[in-house]
Amino acid sequence: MGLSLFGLLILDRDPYFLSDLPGLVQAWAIDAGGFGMIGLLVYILYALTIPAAQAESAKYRAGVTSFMLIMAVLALLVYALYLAMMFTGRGYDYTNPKFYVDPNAFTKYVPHKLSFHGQPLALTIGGLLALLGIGQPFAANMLKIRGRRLWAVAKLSFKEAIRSKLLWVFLIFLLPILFPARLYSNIKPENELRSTIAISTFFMNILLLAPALILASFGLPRDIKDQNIFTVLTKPVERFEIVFGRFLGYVGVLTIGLVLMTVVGWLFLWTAGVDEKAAEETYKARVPVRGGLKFQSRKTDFEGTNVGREFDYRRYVAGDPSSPQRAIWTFNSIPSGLTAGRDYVPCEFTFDIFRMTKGVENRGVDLIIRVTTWQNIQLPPTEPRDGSWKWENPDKEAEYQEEAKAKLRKLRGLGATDDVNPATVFRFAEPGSPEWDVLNELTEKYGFYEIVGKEIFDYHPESVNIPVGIFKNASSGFKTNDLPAVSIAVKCQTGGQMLGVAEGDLYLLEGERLFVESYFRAAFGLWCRLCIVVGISVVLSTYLAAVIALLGAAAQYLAGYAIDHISDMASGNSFAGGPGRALVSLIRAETATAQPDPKSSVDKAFMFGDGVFSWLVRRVANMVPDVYSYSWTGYVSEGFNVPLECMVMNLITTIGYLLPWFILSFYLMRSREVAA
Amino acid sequence: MPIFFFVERTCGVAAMAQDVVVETRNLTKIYRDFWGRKKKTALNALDMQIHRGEIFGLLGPNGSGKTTTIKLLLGLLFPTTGDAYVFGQSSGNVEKNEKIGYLPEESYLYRFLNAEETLDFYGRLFNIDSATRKKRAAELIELVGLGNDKKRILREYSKGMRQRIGLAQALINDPDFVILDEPTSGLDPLGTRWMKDLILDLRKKGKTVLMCSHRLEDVQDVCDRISILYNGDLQEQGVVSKLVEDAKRMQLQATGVQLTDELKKELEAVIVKHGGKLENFGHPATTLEDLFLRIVEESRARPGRRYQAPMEATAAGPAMPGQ
Repeated sequence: MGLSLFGLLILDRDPYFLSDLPGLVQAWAIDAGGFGMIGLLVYILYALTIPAAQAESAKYRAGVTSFMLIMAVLALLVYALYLAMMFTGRGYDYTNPKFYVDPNAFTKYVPHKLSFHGQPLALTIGGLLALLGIGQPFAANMLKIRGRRLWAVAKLSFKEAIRSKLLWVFLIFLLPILFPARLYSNIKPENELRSTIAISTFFMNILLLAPALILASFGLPRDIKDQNIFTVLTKPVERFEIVFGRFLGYVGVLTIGLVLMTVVGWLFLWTAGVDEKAAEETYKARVPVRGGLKFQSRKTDFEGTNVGREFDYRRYVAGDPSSPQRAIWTFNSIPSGLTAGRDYVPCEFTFDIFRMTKGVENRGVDLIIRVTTWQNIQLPPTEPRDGSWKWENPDKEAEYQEEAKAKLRKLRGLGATDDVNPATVFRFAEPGSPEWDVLNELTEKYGFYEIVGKEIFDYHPESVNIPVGIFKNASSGFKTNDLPAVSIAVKCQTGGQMLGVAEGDLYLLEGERLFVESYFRAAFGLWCRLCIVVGISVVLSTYLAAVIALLGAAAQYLAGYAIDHISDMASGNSFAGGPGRALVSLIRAETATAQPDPKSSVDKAFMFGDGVFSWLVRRVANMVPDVYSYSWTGYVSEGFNVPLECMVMNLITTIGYLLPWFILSFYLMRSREVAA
Repeated sequence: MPIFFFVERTCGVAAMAQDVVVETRNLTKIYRDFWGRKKKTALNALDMQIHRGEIFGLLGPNGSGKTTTIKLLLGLLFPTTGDAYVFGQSSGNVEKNEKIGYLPEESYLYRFLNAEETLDFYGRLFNIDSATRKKRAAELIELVGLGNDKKRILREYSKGMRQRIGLAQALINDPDFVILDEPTSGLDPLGTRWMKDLILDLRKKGKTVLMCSHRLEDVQDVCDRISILYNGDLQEQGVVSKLVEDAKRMQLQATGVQLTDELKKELEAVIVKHGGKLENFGHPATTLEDLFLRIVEESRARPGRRYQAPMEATAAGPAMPGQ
């Protein structure tokens, strides 16, 4: 995600929720299990090469238990079964299909879903068996770990970091606070908080992750170089205790740095104050209820218009009274907290306007927002130049209009023949007013609410209030169709303008929490990144020289920022194909978009080579940390709550990512002759 | 022939005699380069036993394999072939370290810690509880004479002081087997004597000591048995007193009698009569170490004591360069 392009929360991927956990566990078992299987086989082959004359002392380094052997054999059998299924085309994973995606098109990241099809199931079971096999000595060793020893090593690392004075670097964090960005650049008042958060997060990332890399990469190698480790390993210390103790110590000291910087950053915001406009837009922690987005016109295959912007995160609907195009947000379930104790639900949105004509000065574009439930089916127009959507049951619509008029006449003490326009009355009705009560009654009965003429401006957050009756209507009765519980259809009324929307641009507001809460929660994501950086660095430093470990860990972490590109290469969806295809294009002076000739044997050979390359990249991609899933900067700077559930998932995924690395470090450390 | 190691709970325990603390069997270490090519045989088929309660010395010139042997015993290096057992457990088993104290050649300690923190750290590694740790650390700091410097970080210590705190960390677990690699390195004669007394004291307490040193007089002073290594091969092994004994020569020492020419002639006659040959007569010389220690002791007892030059030397003055 990173910094949002237009100062808005770009939701090009959803954070992980607990509902994603089963699928993620399966993906973890498949990926980590694959590496586990390779490790197990290499380890057993290594044990086979050790001469018998070295029997006793080698048992502690290359001992193979019967459990490991059994797991290896079983895992091999299951992987063989997978290969058989793959070659016979059975058990394909239809839950997570792999299909060609237009590399130019924006595709939202979708996490792996739990699949019970034959192939993924075989990979899951095979992977778990391999992990059990390779993990058994590790698990047995974990039982020997003693807290006192672990604490000793952690405390040592902590003191080393403190007394090395490296952490004075944290003071640099004060610079952007002492010299605020607004003194040097012209920032819009409403963007003040966004800028401050973005700058402070940038500094925190650099100031924490760089020392983390240095400390963790140099700690163990320096111990080995200075031979301090001799006095440690000659004590009854498990070698993994040194690795894990170091990890805990460095994480501990950097956590203090993180807390200090977060608190200082918060104190700065608190004491310096926030501009009124910025406070209105972003100095809050909204709890949104998000829906899915679909587009619909007269024809059902409408997917929104691409206006040619390079960043095609948003799609556009044409604005005109006669336009049948709608951007429709669908909400399949309504959380109970959304409607509790109030008579309206705020709906907030921020849209992009792509102007085909200059329009009117200081004038935005007008929208029609129609909210309906599954009990009130809406149909697109059938005739050209007809821009209005219809009730499926016209009699019901007429009944609604009559009842609305009747209720409003009664409310205002008018006669039966007096004219009253419900749409106009409801447009200006405020929650708590008698008109709003009427509106609530009607929406609860008919599942329909429409706002006409809502003016919006480019990238400016707006909101409308939706009567709670709509949601009561959605919850009542026995659902007889597969329509979403609530739909919000947005139409652009202003001719010559295009309304750009993305899924994250509109949401129902369940409530608001304190900004400070969200601010501190976001630091947790950085803490997870910190753990990942320290973890990789410490693990690599068990076997590599300090500088190599540092470079390796840095490359591993930074690759996380290029994960989209790596994934494209891994899935074969790269813009210019693989390296083979690129080479052919270069030699033939073809454009990057030229398609390979399926009849050419040269093209086929290079495509096969690209296939192998993709396979290799896929393995690498599995080792790259998913750094984006730990970024909450956009949430905080745009005034959204960081859900607790997502933080739990951050913690789970961090542990899941680091566990295979720690198993690797266990074997590396055990096989290392520190005095050689 | 390759072998699969099925590791079960009982692995790594060797059948050894009750009084044997260390045993090596065909212990060999070959260093290889990145490509697996042989670089150097650091230790070649060493068979050695160290018995409970003895002070055992490892001797040899630089590169003879002394430190390699120690590192193999401690599991810091892995044997190329053969095995090493300590307390009946394989050298690869960290549990054996519970009863071992190790003082490396250089005091490889963390220089950003002070003496108290150092001992606390190593005490924790032995899983010693807090109260015992504090008590033992205080005792050891006093024992090694660093009571006044316990709050200074080790970076500020002299080499001798670091050696002392190194010894303290080696004793923090009250070990049954102490390995000392060049224990007197960096110590002044007073410190050397103190170290040697301490090693002898350890033996009195029933501890087993393995030491290696270049200072042969130190080894001779304290060791019961020694092994001499050269170029990775064991050259000699045995009881020190037996190894250094010169059975072809005889030594007489007497007190209460003046060494006169007459006495010399009489003794020579007796020796010749029994088929021997008198080689030398004279007063036995003390060692320089003994002389030094005696002078230091006297200086302590009499503050203000100064060297008094003989009268004739004072009159003539010291010889100047060029004179």
